Amino acid sequence: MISVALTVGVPQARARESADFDEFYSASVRGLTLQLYAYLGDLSEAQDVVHEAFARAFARWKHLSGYDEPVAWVRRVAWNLATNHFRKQRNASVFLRRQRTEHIEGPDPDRVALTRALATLPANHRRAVVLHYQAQLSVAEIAAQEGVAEGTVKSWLSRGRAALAAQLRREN
Amino acid sequence: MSDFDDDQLISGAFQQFNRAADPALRPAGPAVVRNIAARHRRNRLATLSALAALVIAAPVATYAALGQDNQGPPTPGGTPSATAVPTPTSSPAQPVFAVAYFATSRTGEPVRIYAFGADGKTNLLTSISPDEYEFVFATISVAPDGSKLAWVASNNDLYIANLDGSEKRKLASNVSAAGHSAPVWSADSKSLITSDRTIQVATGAVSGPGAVGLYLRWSANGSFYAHVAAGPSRVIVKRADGSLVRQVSYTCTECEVAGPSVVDVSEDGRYVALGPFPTDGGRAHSWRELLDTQTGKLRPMPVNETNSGRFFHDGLIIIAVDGQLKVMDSDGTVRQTYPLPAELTSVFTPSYLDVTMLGVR
Repeated sequence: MISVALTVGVPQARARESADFDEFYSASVRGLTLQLYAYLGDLSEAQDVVHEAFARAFARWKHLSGYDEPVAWVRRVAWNLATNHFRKQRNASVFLRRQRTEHIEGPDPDRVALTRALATLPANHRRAVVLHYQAQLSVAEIAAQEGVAEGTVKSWLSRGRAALAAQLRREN
Repeated sequence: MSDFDDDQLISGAFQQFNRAADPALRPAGPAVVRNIAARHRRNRLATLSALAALVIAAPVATYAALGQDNQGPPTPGGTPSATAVPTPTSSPAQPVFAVAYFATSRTGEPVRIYAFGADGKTNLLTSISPDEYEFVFATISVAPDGSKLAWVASNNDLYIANLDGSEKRKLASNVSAAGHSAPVWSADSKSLITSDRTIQVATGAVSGPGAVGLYLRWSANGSFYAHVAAGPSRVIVKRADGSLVRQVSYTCTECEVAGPSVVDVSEDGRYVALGPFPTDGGRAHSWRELLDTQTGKLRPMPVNETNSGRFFHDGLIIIAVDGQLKVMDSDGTVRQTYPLPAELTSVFTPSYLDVTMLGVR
């Protein structure tokens, strides 16, 4: 009897885990994608890194589902993927070219204005600003994600905020 | 304008951005996520299967091809040791290698530097908190002569200090540590090679060009270095004087998103261990594939999982597996085992162990 119960129980547990993951994905994918979109300035890149992060989460979902905030794990992985040097290098020239092109075509001036202004910030300032204003993370949470002291995050935020505001005013 | 005004302006800009961007978002769905995860798993299994076949077919040939005589576990007496080594805090045993441990979890784990003696004893040399030095993940590295630490702070200043953290001083500014571009020590421990310049440790003077995004790794004996070239993937091995040994086409099957980075090169310059870019700052640590640059073919990995590791001297490999550092032949035969300190085996992963061979250059 025990054997039968276990045999039946395993698929049921898997189905439940799968459903939990689907719910988790649906609840968090848009927010994460918008964060990475603002940071990278490229929607397809943002979707790539977010889905890669979710895939890694899926592979260890049994473990992650026990976390208080599994989305924090996915967010960290997605941001790590987004900030790796290869992606940054690859993005650098493409990013600027794309911003110029979009400025001419102007399909979404609100979106372009922000991404262009963000592109003028140093990467760590840009990360702090996006995580604070878009992901709504506190200074302590950003410090934990970035592995730096809270004072460092405050400095990044202060400088990033001032530079971004000035740039946005110029844009307007 | 006040901070409040700036806050309002930026919050408004993000709200406008979200309104404009949201209609364009078309999440691929959890089914696509499962497909990506399944593809990762298939790729890993395929690689492991291929490696397993190679292990069965040619373990002896592979070992012989490493071109070294394995006469037993390495001992400090068997290695030239004209350079300084760190002084352990409690054990008289001469350390064979140093291990820098760094966690990439969110817990603010300190970097810990350990010395491992030939007798298997472990001594914690330094424990450095991120708050204390504001280092960028995984940039801390031990000079090969065991005399200094170097790391990049989060403001991109490059620092050096003694192994115990004393005599800390800033060496340079605007040093990149993104991706796997952390500075590397030169073979003689006299300079640090950053992404855009070579800096003399004694004076701070710039003495040459940098790695220019090539992400160098030196062999333990300092005779060779290797890197992955930009553009189409190639692995390049050079002698210490910069002359080219060989370059080999290479596509990393285990580095789908991030791309490959050299993790280590063997003392004879023939074998290169490769792994994916680290997504935190620093350098690559996990062995995923072992490339024979003479044949251009992959060689069996000594263990069937990804690990932090290095080519040991005398043709051996040291790799972190099962909570231990194991010195092994290329076919996985364990020659010596060093238990990892308990605090390293209980922490959250992912984390990295960066092994620096001491006194072998």
